Amino acid sequence: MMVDASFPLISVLIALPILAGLAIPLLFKNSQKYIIHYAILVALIELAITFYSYGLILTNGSGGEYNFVEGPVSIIGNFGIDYYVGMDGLSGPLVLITSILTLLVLFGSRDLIKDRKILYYSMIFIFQGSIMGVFTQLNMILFYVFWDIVLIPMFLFIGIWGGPRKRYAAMKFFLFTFVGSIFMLLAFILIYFNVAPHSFNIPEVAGKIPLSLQVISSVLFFIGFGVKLPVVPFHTWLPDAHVEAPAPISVFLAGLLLKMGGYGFLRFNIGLLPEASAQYAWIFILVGIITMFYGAIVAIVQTDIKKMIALTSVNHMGFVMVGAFTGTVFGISGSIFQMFTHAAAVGIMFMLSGYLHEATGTRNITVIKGLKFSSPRLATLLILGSMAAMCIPIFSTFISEYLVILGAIQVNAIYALIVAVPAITVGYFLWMLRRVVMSDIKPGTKKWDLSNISTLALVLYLVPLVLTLIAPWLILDVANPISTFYASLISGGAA
Amino acid sequence: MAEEINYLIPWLVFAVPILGALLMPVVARFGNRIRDYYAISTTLVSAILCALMLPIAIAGESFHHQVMWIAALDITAGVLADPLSILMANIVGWLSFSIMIYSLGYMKGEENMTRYWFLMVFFIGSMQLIILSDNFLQLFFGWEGVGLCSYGLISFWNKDLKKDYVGTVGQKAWGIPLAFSPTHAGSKAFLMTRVGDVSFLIGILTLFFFSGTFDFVKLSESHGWAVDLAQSGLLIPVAVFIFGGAIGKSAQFPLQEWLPDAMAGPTSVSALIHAATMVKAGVFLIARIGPIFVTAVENVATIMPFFEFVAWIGAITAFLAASQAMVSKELKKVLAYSTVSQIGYMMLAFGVAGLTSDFIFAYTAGFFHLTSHAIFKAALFMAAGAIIHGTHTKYMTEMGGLRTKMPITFVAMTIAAGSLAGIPFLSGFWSKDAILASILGVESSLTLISLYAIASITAVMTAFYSFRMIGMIFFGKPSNHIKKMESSDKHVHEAPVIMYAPYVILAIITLGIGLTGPTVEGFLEGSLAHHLEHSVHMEIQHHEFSLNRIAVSTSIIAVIIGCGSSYLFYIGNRMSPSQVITSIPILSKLQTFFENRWYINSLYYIVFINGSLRLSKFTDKYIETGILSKLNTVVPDYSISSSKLGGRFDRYVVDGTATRIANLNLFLSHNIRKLQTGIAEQYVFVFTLGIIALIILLG
Amino acid sequence: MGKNVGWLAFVIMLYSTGLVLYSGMDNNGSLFTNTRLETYSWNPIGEFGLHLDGLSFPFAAIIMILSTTLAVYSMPYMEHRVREEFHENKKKFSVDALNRKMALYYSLYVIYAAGMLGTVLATNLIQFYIFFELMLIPSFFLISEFGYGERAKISVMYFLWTHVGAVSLLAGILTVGYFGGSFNFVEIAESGLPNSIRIWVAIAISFGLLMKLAAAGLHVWLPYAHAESPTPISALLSPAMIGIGAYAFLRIFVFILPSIYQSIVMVITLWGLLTMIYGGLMAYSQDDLKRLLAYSSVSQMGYIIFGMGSLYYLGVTGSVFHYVSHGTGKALLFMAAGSIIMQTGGIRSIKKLGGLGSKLPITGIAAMIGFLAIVGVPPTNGFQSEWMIFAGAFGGALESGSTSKLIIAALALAGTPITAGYALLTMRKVFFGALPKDFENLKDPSPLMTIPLLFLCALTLLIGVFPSVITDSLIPLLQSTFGAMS
Repeated sequence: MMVDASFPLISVLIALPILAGLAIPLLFKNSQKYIIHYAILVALIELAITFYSYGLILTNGSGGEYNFVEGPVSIIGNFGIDYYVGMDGLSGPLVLITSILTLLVLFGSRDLIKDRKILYYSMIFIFQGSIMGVFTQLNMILFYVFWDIVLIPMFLFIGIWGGPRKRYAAMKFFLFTFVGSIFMLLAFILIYFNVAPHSFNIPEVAGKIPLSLQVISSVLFFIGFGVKLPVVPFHTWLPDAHVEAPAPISVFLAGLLLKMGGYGFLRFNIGLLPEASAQYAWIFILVGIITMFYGAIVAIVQTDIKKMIALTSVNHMGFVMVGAFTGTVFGISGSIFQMFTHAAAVGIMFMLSGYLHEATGTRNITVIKGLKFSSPRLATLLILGSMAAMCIPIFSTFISEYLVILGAIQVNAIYALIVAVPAITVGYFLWMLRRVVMSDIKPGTKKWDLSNISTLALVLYLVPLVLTLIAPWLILDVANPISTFYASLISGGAA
Repeated sequence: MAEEINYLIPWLVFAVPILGALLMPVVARFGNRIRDYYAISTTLVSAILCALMLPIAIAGESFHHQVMWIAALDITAGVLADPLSILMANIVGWLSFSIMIYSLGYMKGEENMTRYWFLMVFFIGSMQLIILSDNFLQLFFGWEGVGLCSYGLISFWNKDLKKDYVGTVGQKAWGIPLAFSPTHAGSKAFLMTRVGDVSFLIGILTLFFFSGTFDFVKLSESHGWAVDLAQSGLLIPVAVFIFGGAIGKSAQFPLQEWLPDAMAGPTSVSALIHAATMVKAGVFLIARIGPIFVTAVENVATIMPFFEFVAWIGAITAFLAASQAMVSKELKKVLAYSTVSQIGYMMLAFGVAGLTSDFIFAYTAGFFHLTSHAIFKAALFMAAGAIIHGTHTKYMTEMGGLRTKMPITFVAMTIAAGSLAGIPFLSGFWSKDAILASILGVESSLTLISLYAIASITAVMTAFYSFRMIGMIFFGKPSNHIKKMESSDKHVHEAPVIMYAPYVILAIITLGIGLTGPTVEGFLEGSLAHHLEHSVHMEIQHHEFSLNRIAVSTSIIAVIIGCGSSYLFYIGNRMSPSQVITSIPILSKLQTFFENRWYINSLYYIVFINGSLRLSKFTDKYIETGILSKLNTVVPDYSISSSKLGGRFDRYVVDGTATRIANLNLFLSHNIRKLQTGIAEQYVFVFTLGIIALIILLG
Repeated sequence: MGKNVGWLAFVIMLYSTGLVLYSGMDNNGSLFTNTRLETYSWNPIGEFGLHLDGLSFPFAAIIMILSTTLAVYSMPYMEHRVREEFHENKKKFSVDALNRKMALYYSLYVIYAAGMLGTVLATNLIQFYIFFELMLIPSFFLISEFGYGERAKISVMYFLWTHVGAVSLLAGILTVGYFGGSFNFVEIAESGLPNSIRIWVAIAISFGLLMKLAAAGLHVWLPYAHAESPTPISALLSPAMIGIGAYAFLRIFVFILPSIYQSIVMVITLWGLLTMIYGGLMAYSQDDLKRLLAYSSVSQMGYIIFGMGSLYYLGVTGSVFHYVSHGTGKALLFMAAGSIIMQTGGIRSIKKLGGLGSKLPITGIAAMIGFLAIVGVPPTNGFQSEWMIFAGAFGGALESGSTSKLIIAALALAGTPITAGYALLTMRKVFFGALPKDFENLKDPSPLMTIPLLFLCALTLLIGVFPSVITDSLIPLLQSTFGAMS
């Protein structure tokens, strides 16, 4: 039974960070001493609200429908551009991880971001706010607006705080994703004109879209979301962006930005275009599988640890894709769960790569040696993080991936072969660990290790992973209703 | 009347020595004398307990007591005290006691005596366990127990010093050395008997599947299993496989090779384990299961082939070993070969038992020979030990003319040897005669003749080598070795009383049995007959004792030929053996052939030992390190190199095209300069365009 | 706490050993006739449960007993090892560095034991898999942190190979779980599996488990891992951990997928035969003491696999029992090897050793008993297990009336002297013969190492004489299972 908002929860979720972000330049014009405390405070409040709303959905088991719905309130005349937000089992986990990651990223930024703090922190919050918007908007145009607003802070993050080739990377990132979004917009408009009455509101157009249009728009969506997710061959912007972006931003990039793609696939391809998705599921699954293997294989040879992690997240996103298009309860909840766990798992890896750079002045796997001697804490966390990324079942990444595979098996037992992917992942991660962590130390390497506080901050990434291994229902009870609904749509579409 | 005994007695017979042995290390802490006497007293206690059971045997009854062992499989542990086991137990018990006494003297001043006593006592316990067990599984415990002790005792001098080697160092056959270090010999013994045990296990496990039990009594009571076995055609194989165990333990052909080398152990050990007791275990096993099989299959199938097999194995072994005994130069080895050969005799007897209408006669003969042989062979070994002790050499060629120096030993050993040779009115004469006579009862004439021929030829050889031994040791001129000792006034002198007392007593017993042969045989037959009738339900025709003329004459002739020739060569010194042999080439050929143990030993080493080692090396080189270990590195390496390819593909093809499609390069290059601001405008511009387009569309 | 942290670990281990044995005890005190089960909801995967029954009891008991014993043994050994390592890396030794190392060792050690125990108590495929991997991780660290030789490389290879196996196992498990309708052992319905995929399931799962069991061909990782890991860990890896593959095999195939099991037994039998002979042969040509033991483990796993293929309750009983016997026996051997390595200052080459029997009597006795156990000589428990294995093999063969099986069984039994061969050879070379002169003043290690040795010796012999502690609950269980099968 859906939960109604006694007060506009979601609007707060969206507005609070944006306003807080805009306020930063005014508040900290002269001294930036307490900027971080302020930021963390805001993030905590945001997190608290998220917990509250998520908790409500969890306890009511109302992941199936939209909760805290506001609107539709028409904003621009009669163009159907309404303010219309809601949170269901699909958006819930993503909103949750957004708030968590933002907090953790702030912890990370404390050590790693030194200059232009005001712009940085305000951008962080604008980013968070707009992501919240993306995950909760039920009006396609506003969805598109938020979708593109997200680009601005990310673009600046890379362009300003990035590494040597930051401009190239930023530009490449921007164009890829922006071009993608244009296709998406096109699809929206097409849909708008072909449903009667004309509407941009997802709940209103759902189930009214003719099959022919579904096919066309699913192609357009595929480009739009595929670039974000990313799927092969649209993934090439990702490694560059990651390599150049500062560690905390990589966390955002991989942890949240990519999720927009996954969210889009589920919300639109599955939710709005079930028939098309059911008919052409095999294509999407194929692409997904190719993406997994491709990401995994290419990752093996990378010498830049960050690039390796980036490609790892490509292969993890492949799981999201496959899971979504299996159109089974297992698969869809799996991919939702996967988006959640992957955010945390890859998050810690990116943070670590940042610290690694701090510690050794390089991220080159072949150069770094004997980490376990020079900085034991970092080494230990690196190993644990790798295990999370390898889907070793001491973290819930394992459960999410196995749910996806299970869904795939449900479609066709041959898909069980997908389990080869984690095996490859384990392969190159171990290879990396052997060279970086377990090799003998070079004489005269300076010792550098994490401070207690940042160690704690990093351990926090692992907490949700362990927690959801022991109690997977924390996520799945929210995700299952919506995935059951979507699964029914798909099976209906297949029939 | 029914004889009653406390049910604990049979258990204690083996429990006392086994537990006693386990306590040995503790007792050893109280000082060596205490330890020594403790060891001996445990064996004495066990022997007395055996004696307490004798009344049952005399009454020809049996006593059976069981406890649950493996409940889930309904496997019980228990003791079965019937005439067979009780008589055997007494032989073992008292012989081992006497040998333990002898050890006191023989092993004086040795190191690691705790280990020695432990193994000896534990051995006695295990041997009694074999004898008194009422089922195969429990028996197998004893079976392996004695094997272990023999392994430990053969390799007792585990420093492997050259002086402890058995065989002449440097002697080779087909390039395989015929001299073995104690530990080597020990391992060899263990391994070869192990081969026998494998076949034993195959047998009893198959039997277990059909009968669902290991229990002798159950097996002899219900015969369903035999029917099933016969129907599935596995009856004979199973019996043969079980016999395989006996072949291994009793060093029968083709597994006889370990026993001669087992002489590397102390002589007391040879006397106890490799003459009197352990090697008889196989014989005992046949005595135990033979009747069961006979009665079980009576009306369903014939078991003849099995007994024929046993008989032939026995005959072949008897001949083979005797031939080697004739040429051996080492005193102990002569005795070892003769042991093998005599056990062959016993096997022959038990085999024949199944081939004649008169089971009990041959059965008794076999058991009788077992008894007498155990006694006189123990005596021979102990005497030999005393001699080797005295002369500091193991070669008979380095002895000679000792009868004046060691008179008591001389007398005792001659009696024993005579008994071995089968001189009339010594125990060996009666038992061997009984065996020959029993062979005459065989139905198929062909088998009868061939077996009888082999047996009598062996008898000749036996007589020959026994007196060759006596001659070489006690008669003739003292060898240079002895002379040297004398000159360096290390006088060869009589053994101390504690050493000669045991074998003198045994010699007297031999004499005693010799004089009362028929009565002893009658007694044995009586009680064994009872046992077979009652516990195995076999019908027996009793008959008065009578000497079989043919058999008697054969054995007497054999003795005359054998002893006569050896007298000519070695005692009377009428002609020198070396000349004769060299003069007749075939003889010398034979001699080397026998000395090289018919090349069987070498064959085994070449095929099995070297073979398996070579195979192992081969697999290691070409499969393990050649292929499999490579996987350990090749697989990852390969995947890496292949993914390098993928990496290049990604960088140039995918990325390249993608950028080209988007036609970025140009676009980027001229925008990069004023990136921040510039692109923001760009962005806003495009964005507004989008909105405008939208509005127009909507309008 | 310092380096006495070992005692803490020991107490913990002792406590849970006590619990395992206690729950194994039934009211009239005889081991082990009742089953204990506790379950917790673990949505949506199923029930997270702990189950101690006739099958899991022997495994659980041995795992706990061994890890308890080795916790004591580790104290002197690992301290020695750590000091040695400081020396190797030319790092200056400091007490609190030592203490930190010991603490790390024991924390990993305890997790490792917990992981192993978890696998055999699991009631749910996913839960099983999680524990299956959980025991992999600490062992990986133990090798890479405390091992010998090229430990980094070897530990990674160890992790990779076994993980590849595990992943293939996972594929099988997931398929079974989906088509079987549940992941809880008790609820899985084999009938749900379509015939088309059964063969793949069989392949995937048995590949994964045989990898763990180091069956011939899949054993490449084992000799390295077991030879180079710190000796107490070898003594856990070798008997306790890899044998868990056997447990899983029985649990999954015999109890959950009987019909698939029946279709693959022939392959399993032959593979087992191959493994036992292959491992034995390899053991001959080893000079490194620990490598030899590692290969002997391979061959012993062959016996276990062989027994599992017998398709007869007695043979499977034998396999489980052999896990126990091999557990005590091989642990003894590794511990003996450890004490030799420690006392001789790291000499592992058999060529360089000799005549130690007189200097290290207790070690010698322990090694002898250990070897007897794996050779299968009474009165050690090895005999009980081996006769059951082979009785099972013959039983299965005769029951199915197939001559080929009969011949295979006979062949296997005929292969057993190979074990005896290398056992005796090793005894001779290491403990007998002439004593190298620089070993003149060696002696047995401290009581902390010899007492565990003697304890295991006693255990080996006691179980050998009173086998019913293992069989009483196991045999009826298997009898009924196999009765239902045929």
